Amino acid sequence: MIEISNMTKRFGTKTVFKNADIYVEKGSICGLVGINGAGKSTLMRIISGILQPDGGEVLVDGERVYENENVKKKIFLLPDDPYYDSGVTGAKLRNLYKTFYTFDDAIFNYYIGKFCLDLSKPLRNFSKGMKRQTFVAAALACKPEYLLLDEAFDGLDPLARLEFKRGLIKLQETGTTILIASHALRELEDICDSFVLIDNNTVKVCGKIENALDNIFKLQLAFEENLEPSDLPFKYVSAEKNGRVITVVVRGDKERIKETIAALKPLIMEEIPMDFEDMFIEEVTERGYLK
Amino acid sequence: MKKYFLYEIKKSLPAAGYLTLSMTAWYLILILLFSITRLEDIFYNLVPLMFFAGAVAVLSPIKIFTYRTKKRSVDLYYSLPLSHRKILTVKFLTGLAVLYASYTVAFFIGMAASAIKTPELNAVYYIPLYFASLIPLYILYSVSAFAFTRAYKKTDGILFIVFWFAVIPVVLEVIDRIFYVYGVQPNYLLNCVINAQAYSPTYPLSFVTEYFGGLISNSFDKIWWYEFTPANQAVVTANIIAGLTLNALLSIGATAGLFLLEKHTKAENAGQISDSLFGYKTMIPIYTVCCLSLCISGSTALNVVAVVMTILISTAITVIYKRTVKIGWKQAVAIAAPIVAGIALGALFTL
Repeated sequence: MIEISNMTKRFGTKTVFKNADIYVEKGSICGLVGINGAGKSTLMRIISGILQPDGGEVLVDGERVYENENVKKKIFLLPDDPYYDSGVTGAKLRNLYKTFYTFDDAIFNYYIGKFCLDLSKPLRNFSKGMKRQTFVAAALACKPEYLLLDEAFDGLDPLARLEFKRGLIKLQETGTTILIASHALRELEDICDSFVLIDNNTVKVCGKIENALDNIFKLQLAFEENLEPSDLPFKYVSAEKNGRVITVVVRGDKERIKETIAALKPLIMEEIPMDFEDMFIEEVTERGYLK
Repeated sequence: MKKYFLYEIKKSLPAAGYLTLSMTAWYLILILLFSITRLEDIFYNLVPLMFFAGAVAVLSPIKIFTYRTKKRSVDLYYSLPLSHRKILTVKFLTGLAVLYASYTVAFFIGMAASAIKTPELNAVYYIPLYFASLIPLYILYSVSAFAFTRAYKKTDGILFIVFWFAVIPVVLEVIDRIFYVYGVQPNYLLNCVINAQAYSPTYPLSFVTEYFGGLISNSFDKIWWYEFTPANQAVVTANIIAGLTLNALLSIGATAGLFLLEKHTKAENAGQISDSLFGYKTMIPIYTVCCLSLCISGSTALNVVAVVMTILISTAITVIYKRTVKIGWKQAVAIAAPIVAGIALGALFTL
């Protein structure tokens, strides 16, 4: 598992993380979410051993990551904009990763064939999506114990995304722990069982997606009296009034809240399904982002 | 690490091939083009070969260590399951191997061609020349590698190489001027025709080429050293030995520094302002003080131009260092202080 406790990271005078605590269960697929500039990529770089934290502990399977070759052998990071030397082809990229990881040629060739990529052509001549596909194939072929993906789906067409998600699930079934940073929350919800929300230099929420979604819900209400959201006798995350209809997002005990609303004899009380993206939007706007 | 080393060697084969071909072609063309009317004419082909190899030794660290100056490449290499020091070691050794391999092929093919074209040459001295030249090439490579890796950006690294190759001679010129101006008994380590030049990292290669070139061409007794009186020959010899020793120590220090300081390398520095103590922070003040004091030795218009140019260049390099033209009071003091010190020192020279 990945255990981060009381982690602090600064770049000069700027604090990126302060007292961050994260626990990612072994064998899970965890989504890493946050607004732009929250520190998702930085966190990925810390977990993969590129950056050294200024305080706290970052442990993978109980061992520190930074400058630890044995631990880093278990980890594969696919950054949002992976580097490659000029002139590097898919074949040469394979050779690089073969040097460090237990590389499965069959898996690599399978995805290269699926994506119809030419291993002899330089990556610089590929489109953004094709480059991504090549690196995705390499990442899956390395079969690491810990796979870190930064903006995993960026640049991939819908079919490639589907294939990639299938590949990730297959990898998870072999015991790989996957951490995906992405703004494509609907894609994350498809495959992730847990998530970490980063905001304001620290970890705000960390846990199972279904538990988080159980705890927040959206209701559409209408009353005979022209009530304002501020008239509602309970705390809410956000509320919007459109004519006589109030749409309110609430965190807490659903049944108790519904009973409280029922006591006001609403004309309409309808629950609107919330997905992971809705939940994220509510979480970050509650904290003042883009208000 | 062994697997990674083999990977880097394999990756470098095309570049090594091109380098070997170019260096060999360069040397052969010069051997074939220049007719040897006097044996010492072999310097017309030997010196360019050494210049080519020396240039490769100085410039190749720029290509090899550029990975440290960009966030993307740093992310790749530092995420791999290998320590920073091992990555550095492999890159360093690969570059050295490519340099030596291409130089070796070019050298011995050229040696054979030279010996066949001019049988009168003492070709046997090519062998010790080859082995002796490996050391100066290492000196150039190691000093260049250390200098470049102090920087966080490629352009800074290139400037640092230039700084490091001239800093000791420049400082010694100033020291020599102080001794001269104040009539101190001539310092036998400094006061001779070679003077500061002997203390540049380029000198050992130049010396080795001249020494063994003289033996190969049987013109050893015609080199400039013999034009001096025995007393001056002793001074010159002492200067040469001091210069070679200092450069050897510089290379040892550079190699040690390169590897020992690696643990302090931080990935987040890639692409940032290069504020290493071995870079702008010390070099700008040193060069400003030394160059200004050397320029101010009279009241000719040319010296005024040189002084103004030095101040402008010092300021321009500071702007490059800080990457901004907005200069706060602290930075203004940092620019002004060496200028004042350099002018003051120069004034002392003219008293």
